Amino acid sequence: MSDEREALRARVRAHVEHESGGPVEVRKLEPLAGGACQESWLAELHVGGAERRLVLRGDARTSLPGSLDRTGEQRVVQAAVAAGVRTPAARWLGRDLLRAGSNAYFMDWVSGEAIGRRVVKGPHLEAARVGLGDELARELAKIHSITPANNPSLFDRTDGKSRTIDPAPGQAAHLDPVGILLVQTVTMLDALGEPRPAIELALRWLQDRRPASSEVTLVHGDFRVGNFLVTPSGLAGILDWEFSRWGTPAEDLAWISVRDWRFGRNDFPVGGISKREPFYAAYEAASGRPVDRDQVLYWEVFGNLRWALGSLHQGLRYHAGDRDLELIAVARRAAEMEYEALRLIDKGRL
Amino acid sequence: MQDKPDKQMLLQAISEFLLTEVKPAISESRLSFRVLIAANLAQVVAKELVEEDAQEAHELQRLRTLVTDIPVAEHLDRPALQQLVVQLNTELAERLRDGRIAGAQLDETRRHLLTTLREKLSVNNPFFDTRPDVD
Repeated sequence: MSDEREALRARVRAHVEHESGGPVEVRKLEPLAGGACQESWLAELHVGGAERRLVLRGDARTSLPGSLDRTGEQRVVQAAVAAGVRTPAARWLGRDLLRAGSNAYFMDWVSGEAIGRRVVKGPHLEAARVGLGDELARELAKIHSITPANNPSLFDRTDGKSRTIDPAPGQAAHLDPVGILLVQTVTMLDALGEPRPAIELALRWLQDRRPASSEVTLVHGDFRVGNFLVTPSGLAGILDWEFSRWGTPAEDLAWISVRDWRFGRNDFPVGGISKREPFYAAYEAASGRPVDRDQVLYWEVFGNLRWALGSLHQGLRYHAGDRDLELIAVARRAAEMEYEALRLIDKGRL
Repeated sequence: MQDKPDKQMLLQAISEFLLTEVKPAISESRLSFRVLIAANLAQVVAKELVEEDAQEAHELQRLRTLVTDIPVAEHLDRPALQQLVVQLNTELAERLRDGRIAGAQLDETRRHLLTTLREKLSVNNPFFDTRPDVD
């Protein structure tokens, strides 16, 4: 074992002993995802007299605009757990744990399948898919029960400030979540340095139909197949809160239906696992909040537009020196999202 | 002009080599996925080489009916044609941003963009279902 790995084990042990106030043994500490991504580690610890299986999750080296660091993310996860959301609990935030300047926390290990294609098509999950839409709708209702009124300081602390092009996402979004996203979208579009008339047309459509006022709640921000852990008995957990912020419930309701997250199952527009109406009905029943179909259409167009720009920015990362073939390949796929945004506009309904 | 094998043949050969010889020899899933991407990109470029002249001409023809007030020289060579497509798209993008395109012209612009994207997708991802009522 390398000295570096040994030093990490020692840091983890000292940190968890400090946090838990008792002796700790590090049984196992190894990188997840084949070692290529060093930001997530499997950690098996003996702590508080019990064996615990955990994921040590650290800050990403590069991140997309609008994402939270681990400090901000742990706070959101803890609020979600308190609201009863099925998500792995997070604790013991540490600075400089994985590397200098990086935050990391420990998350409960939860088993399940997260790979989108398998969640949507895997034969072993066929029974689980039957109830998955309802389960997700109920979890979403719990997420949206967290509001600026009952959680005023969720995003406004300086220690977990999100790294974003918007200087104060929590507070400002609180006042105008749509306006903030429109500004962010224009900034991302202008950064491309090439004309994208399809994106311009969709943006104009969104600006002309901007909702007059919307309820503001916590939104997960990346609520889609790929971020759900699923087992044969159903939903095991919701992952990846780094894009959570104050927003409009319809954003999450629409993002899960963005075509790319259906993994080819367009016959089930909600994430490739559910028809639309049963999903909206389950959400309405659980949240007591009516689902405005026109607003969902608005946010589905917006979602495709944002993902088109997201994929083009992945291509920019390649040109900036992050030589990952997947990044430049995904930039070519922006045409799929552009097409989908214009198709929805053309159709005018869901 | 090069003799045979031509560029499409070479790209097809690269793609086939990656899929039939390289990919099966790789057990690491992330790397295996990247080999699949590389093979796919070689096929995309091969298809693009076949389609690009016609697709650019179609796009230009439609753009000229949408942006009518920019003088265009006759008998342009290929680089000049491509430059013109970019110029007209830049113009179209600016006019959409400013809100100068509205009403029937906006509908026509949307139809043009959908057609252009359908053509691009036939190269980038021939399996992408472009039917209006796909869901």
